[in-house]
Amino acid sequence: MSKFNLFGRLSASPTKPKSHAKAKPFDVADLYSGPFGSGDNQTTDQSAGSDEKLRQAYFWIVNNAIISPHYDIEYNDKPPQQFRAGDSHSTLSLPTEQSYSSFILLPLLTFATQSKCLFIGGPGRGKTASALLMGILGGYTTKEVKRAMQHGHPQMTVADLLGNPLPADLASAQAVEDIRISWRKWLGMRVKIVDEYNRIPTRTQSALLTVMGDNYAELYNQVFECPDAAWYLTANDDEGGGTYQVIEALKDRIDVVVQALSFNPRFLSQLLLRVEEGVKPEMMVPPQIIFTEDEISNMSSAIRAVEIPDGIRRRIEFFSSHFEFSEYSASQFEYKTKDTSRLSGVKAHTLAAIDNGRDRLKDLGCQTLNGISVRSLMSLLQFSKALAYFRGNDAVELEDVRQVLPFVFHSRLFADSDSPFFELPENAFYRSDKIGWLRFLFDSSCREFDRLNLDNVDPVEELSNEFDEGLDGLSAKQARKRLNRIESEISQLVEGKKMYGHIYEDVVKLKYLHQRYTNYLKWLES
Amino acid sequence: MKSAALKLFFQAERETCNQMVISVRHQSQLFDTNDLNWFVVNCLDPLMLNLDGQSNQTSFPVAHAGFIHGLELVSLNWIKSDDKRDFVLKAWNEYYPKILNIIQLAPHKVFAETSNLFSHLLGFGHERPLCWLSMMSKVLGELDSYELFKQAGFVCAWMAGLAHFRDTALNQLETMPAPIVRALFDLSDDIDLKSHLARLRNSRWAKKLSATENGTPSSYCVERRIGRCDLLGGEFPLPPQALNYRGQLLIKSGELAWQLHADAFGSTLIPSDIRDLQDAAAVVDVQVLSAFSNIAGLHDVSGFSSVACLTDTVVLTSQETFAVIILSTPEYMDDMARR
Repeated sequence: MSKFNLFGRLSASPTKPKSHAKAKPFDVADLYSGPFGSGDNQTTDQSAGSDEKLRQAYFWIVNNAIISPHYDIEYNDKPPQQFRAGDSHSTLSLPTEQSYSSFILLPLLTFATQSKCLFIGGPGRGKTASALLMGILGGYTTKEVKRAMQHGHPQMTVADLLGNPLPADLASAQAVEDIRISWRKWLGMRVKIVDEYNRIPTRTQSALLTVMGDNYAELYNQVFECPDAAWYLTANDDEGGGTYQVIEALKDRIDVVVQALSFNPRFLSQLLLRVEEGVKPEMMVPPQIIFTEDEISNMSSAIRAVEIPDGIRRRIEFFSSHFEFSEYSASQFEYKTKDTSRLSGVKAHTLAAIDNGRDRLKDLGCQTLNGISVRSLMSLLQFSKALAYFRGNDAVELEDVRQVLPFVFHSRLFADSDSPFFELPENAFYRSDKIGWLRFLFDSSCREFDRLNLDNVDPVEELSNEFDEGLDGLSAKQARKRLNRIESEISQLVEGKKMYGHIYEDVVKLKYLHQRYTNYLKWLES
Repeated sequence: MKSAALKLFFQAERETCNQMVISVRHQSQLFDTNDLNWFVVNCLDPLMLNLDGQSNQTSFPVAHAGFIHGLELVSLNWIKSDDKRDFVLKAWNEYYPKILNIIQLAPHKVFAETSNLFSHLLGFGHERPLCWLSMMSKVLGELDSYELFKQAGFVCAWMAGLAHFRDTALNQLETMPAPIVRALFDLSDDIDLKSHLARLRNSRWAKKLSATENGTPSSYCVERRIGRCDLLGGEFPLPPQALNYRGQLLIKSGELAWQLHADAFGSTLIPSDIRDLQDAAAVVDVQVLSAFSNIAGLHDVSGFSSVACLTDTVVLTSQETFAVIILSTPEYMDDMARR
């Protein structure tokens, strides 16, 4: 006899009605469908797309599984009502559009894009439970997911992580290649969970890095090719407070970092229910929101197909151009980067002392110790697309980028707490609020972008587009004309002006274009 | 509890039923045990009385489905609400006992789909479910299969005022047994069924014409006013405009649009996509509009802002009201429709 199960109820489709959505065509069958189901336990609309299924999974998790009433990914279609709270006059906004909890949404987007997510936060905040649910969404049973979960501990060896050579082969093998390995089952799964990864010893972390970065495991010259997978790692502390310092390269492999927020005591009744009922949400995941391998693959392809409009791409470019430039790190133009001084061990504040020309408050680059890695930019593009897809859109909106960006750069863009920006009393809380600071950085960058009117007047973009049309059939006269224009643009950008990150990156691009035309001209004239 | 069959069921499945109640009580904040008691005593028990003396194999599936459905009704707050409780009671006391043969075939399905139907009807007015039940009660004894039961449901939904089911219902009527169709329309045996159905198909106001028999109305008649300002709980953010778009009556208000379905049984507004109507414009010809100014029943409106016509229907809107005014035309007023 079936048990009445409200936990198994999914949110009704469409979970994200659009304000000007195409009205649902009238269907006579609607007369007999509604809130009471169909009576034969088949409530899913099989024709619904994967994005709808993903949204239903999100709403099932927030409504039934993880108690996370923190709607920190805010969307508004009209100005929201705002309140000033406390002595700090922090703003509380009431979003006017469907908004989301990052703690649920980002792991779900990680699942959809088969990328890597790190949960941080104190013990007992649902980090492992959330990862477990993602495993179940991937089609595994609770037992399978729990057994495959890797628990970091100080004695964890590479063999614990990857597998063991077969003892018989160790004794009888004539060559290393003859030793067969009993690979750990989790390596072949499409959802991989590593609990407390900052408790894993450094050597084992390196083995983990190979699996995470290159998708294979190697032992005794034997290689195990892993399938594409969504990775979930948990850590109680992201600032090196675990047993071992996490190696930098491993951190950079993580696409998004999500903070588990505190439990709101007003939801104690829901905990009480679970205690009284013996309810474990992970045991009650409705089958309708479990994804097959094909669905996951198709969803990843559909996400990649989401468009990023040129205007938004330009704003991302502009944002990332602020941070790498460091004027006094080198004499040669190309080496004027923070990475140059970092590699040579020169402290940031030593260079800052020399740097007395620029407005260090206005320059966003002065707020960080490093620049943005290529991998993090790829994560940003991927997650922006995934968020747009989740919201049922074919193209990324600026707000999608703005919402995703802080979680992508959380552990990759490091604040220079000695910079004048953080000395201002009104910015003091940004020292601990990384998400808020990164969002502030992006907003400031967009304001600067608007101030420079780069949406309408962007000579470097024009020259770049001109070059992208190709050099076939370009006459020497035209090439010289373009060279002259590039030189004139460089002159306008640098002569007699302070250097900022975005100008530096523009100049590097212009130099690149100049070199390409110069080579072409040489070839034409030879 | 009067029903022995239900008593037996509760004895056999006591543990499971208790578990279900405890589980639902914690899962739904709306759940009230008193409502469930009310449902069991007033709805399930009377229905199960009809199955007393039958085997457990026959009665238990119905009791199980009924009990689960009761939990759902209570969880969704249907028993608390007076309006809903009325037709739930009527359905379980008067409607389900007459279709026990169908319920036994698929009890979960019948209970779920009937309640879904009520939910759908409620979207068009609180009186509709009771109206539907009274229509259905005319034919319940004649329904011997689940398909026929659903067909009759469509027809009664149409006759209860859901005008957008007109085409579906007319198609269903063509295939339904004659005695059922006659019972639905209260037709005596001497009336030719085919010509009656043909008349219904040909004129959306035919119900009235058949009542007056030889009556061909000689002038426009105000049939209905539909829609209200959204600030008063209606649909329209702005005074609406009517148009005929490829033979379908449409109503536009601001950035929203609806298909208007109207006939002798009722009228409904079904949301439509405004983007499909970009090339459609309402008729605001002053000469055409002034032709309607002296119609009886429209003296409260001094001027009209748009008009849309079909061969048998005229729809008017005015800046003075948010309501859409629906008129039936004198027969064969094709001239206006062509304009």
